[in-house]
Amino acid sequence: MTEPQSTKLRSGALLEIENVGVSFGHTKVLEGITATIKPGTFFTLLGASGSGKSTLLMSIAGFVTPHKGTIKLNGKVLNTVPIHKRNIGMVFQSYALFPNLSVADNIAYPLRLRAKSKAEIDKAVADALAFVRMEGFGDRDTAALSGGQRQRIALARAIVFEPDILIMDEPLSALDKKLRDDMQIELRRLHDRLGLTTIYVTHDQREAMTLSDEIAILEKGRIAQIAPPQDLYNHPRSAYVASFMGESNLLRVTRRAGGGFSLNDTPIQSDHHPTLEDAWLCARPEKLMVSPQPGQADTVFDARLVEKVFQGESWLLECLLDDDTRITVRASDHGGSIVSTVAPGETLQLGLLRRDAYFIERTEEVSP
Amino acid sequence: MRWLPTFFLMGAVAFLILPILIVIPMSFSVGSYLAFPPTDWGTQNFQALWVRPEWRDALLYSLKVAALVTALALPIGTAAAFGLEYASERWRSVLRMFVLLPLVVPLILLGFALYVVYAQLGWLNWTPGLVLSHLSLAIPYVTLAVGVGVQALDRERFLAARLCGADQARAFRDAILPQLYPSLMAGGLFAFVASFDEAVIALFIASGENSTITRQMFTSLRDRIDPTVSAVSTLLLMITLSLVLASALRDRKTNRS
Ligand SMILES: Nc1ncnc2c1ncn2[C@@H]1O[C@H](COP(=O)(O)OP(=O)(O)O)[C@@H](O)[C@H]1O
Ligand SMILES: [Mg+2]
Repeated sequence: MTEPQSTKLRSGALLEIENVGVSFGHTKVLEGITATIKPGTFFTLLGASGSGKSTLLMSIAGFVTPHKGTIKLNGKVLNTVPIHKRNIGMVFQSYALFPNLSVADNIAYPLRLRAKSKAEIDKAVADALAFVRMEGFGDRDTAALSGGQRQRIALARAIVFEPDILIMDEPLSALDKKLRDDMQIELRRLHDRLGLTTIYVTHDQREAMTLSDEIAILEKGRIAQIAPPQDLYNHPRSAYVASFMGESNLLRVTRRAGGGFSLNDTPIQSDHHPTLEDAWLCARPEKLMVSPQPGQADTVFDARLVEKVFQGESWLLECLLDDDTRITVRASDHGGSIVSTVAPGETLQLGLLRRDAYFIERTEEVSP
Repeated sequence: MRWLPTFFLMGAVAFLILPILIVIPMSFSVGSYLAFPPTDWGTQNFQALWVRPEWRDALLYSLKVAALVTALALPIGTAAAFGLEYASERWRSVLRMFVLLPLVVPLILLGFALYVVYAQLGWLNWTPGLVLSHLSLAIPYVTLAVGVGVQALDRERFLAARLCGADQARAFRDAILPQLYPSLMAGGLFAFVASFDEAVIALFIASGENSTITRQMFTSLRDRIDPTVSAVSTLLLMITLSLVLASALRDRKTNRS
């Protein structure tokens, strides 16, 4: 960790999680988790509270022992390596700094344990402080720092000893919204400079999309889908993933004799041709067009406006289809749009492009 | 009306403290009997404490025993506090009862029982025997005090230390122990005072050369009223108060940071 430019010399480590299962007593918390995290990837575990995100992270760290499966770091099995020899940097939600030590001593702690020389330690600590933009804070008490500053120091301590991977468990959730947004951008920038394989835990889908190269959605201890953010958003594999990643309308469609699906007898034009018997059309609220110009949309159907809410950058429209299915539309009030003038009770047309019409398997359970 | 509770508290404190404070002027009286208020003032009683070997030896012996008890009670009581914290829900309350049992058993009963057992074993008037008996009183205090600290531990600091490269023992020392300092101080203070102030057990099992200061006070009051007792009382009061004060000041400092 010296010059920002040269830091990418370290290409992070490869982490392979193979069929890992964890149970506490009789409750199975994780089941058959398999994931390959490529060197230098920012990988996020996303899931509702209690879905097992922390447990998976703790299994990687070694605080939780899986009853089955292996975890490999650069091809070497990690399961039996003692925690303090795993060479993993970790950032906690509670920061977990040592309040009896100064900022510099906190960062120096992992280096002291590695019996580095004083000169080496001083240089590494100064570099780490500069890296998280906290130069000059070395002599401070950790108690005198704000939440955001503490989190930076915790990050500096986690990377100063050049760990093979960096893991973070909801590191920003104790910060207020504005600071959290800033830190997200900064974390991403730091990751790009470091090139360190990073595993990040959050329950916030927007944060996950902002930060990640790849996201794994955990659903009740199983992986629902692993994909890059855009894929996950545009091509969710299940209703759970669709409703977890942003807002979505799941509309019941019927299979047509000649192939494809129709919504209340309107054939849906789509690039997606799955072999599903029972399917939902997954239509994102912001992808639906309100009264499109002729030829602008590939599929057009009628809907009756029930409610209209102004939300600043967009309008939220609640509509009903012919069969009384609710559908939510998010429309921006750009020039020429009828959004601002249309009134509840009126019927309007909704349009959808081929590429935005995506089908997923219809199951009993709808929402997470 | 906000001052009303404070007023009552002050009243209660005065009621409890004032009788104790009476010994201070008494200890500075001159004469061969206890007088209040004193007619003549002097430090004769304090000099006697040091000049007369039966008092000096008893004081030093008590300090030695209390120090030994504190040094042993701290690690044992702390281990018990962790044991209780990690015990299964079902056993915790039963185990806690056992740890606290010596505090609720009447001291006179404990003293008598120990006398019978120690007489059989030949442990009477033997320092390790006295230390052992005081430990049964001191350990519960340490466990109570440290237990509060253990419940409030930030365990993530331990995990952080482990991942930084510390083995279990090192991580405990660097990440857990500093968090427990205030409760260890409090527990140590209670342990020291529990042993130093104890008179009933000592009456049964510690006599002659191995006489504690409290026992010495008791016997000297029984045989003839020796005014040196008031000097000892003042001294005990000062030792206890300064320990309590030191711990309170320390707490204030750690609370501020
Ligand atoms: N030490 C433990 N003992 C028993 N159950 C646990 C333990 N740790 C976690 N669990 C349970 O495992 C599940 C997953 O927990 P966790 O991994 O913390 O979820 P997340 O981090 O996604 O919120 C929860 O139902 C939780 O109650
Ligand atoms: Mg968690």
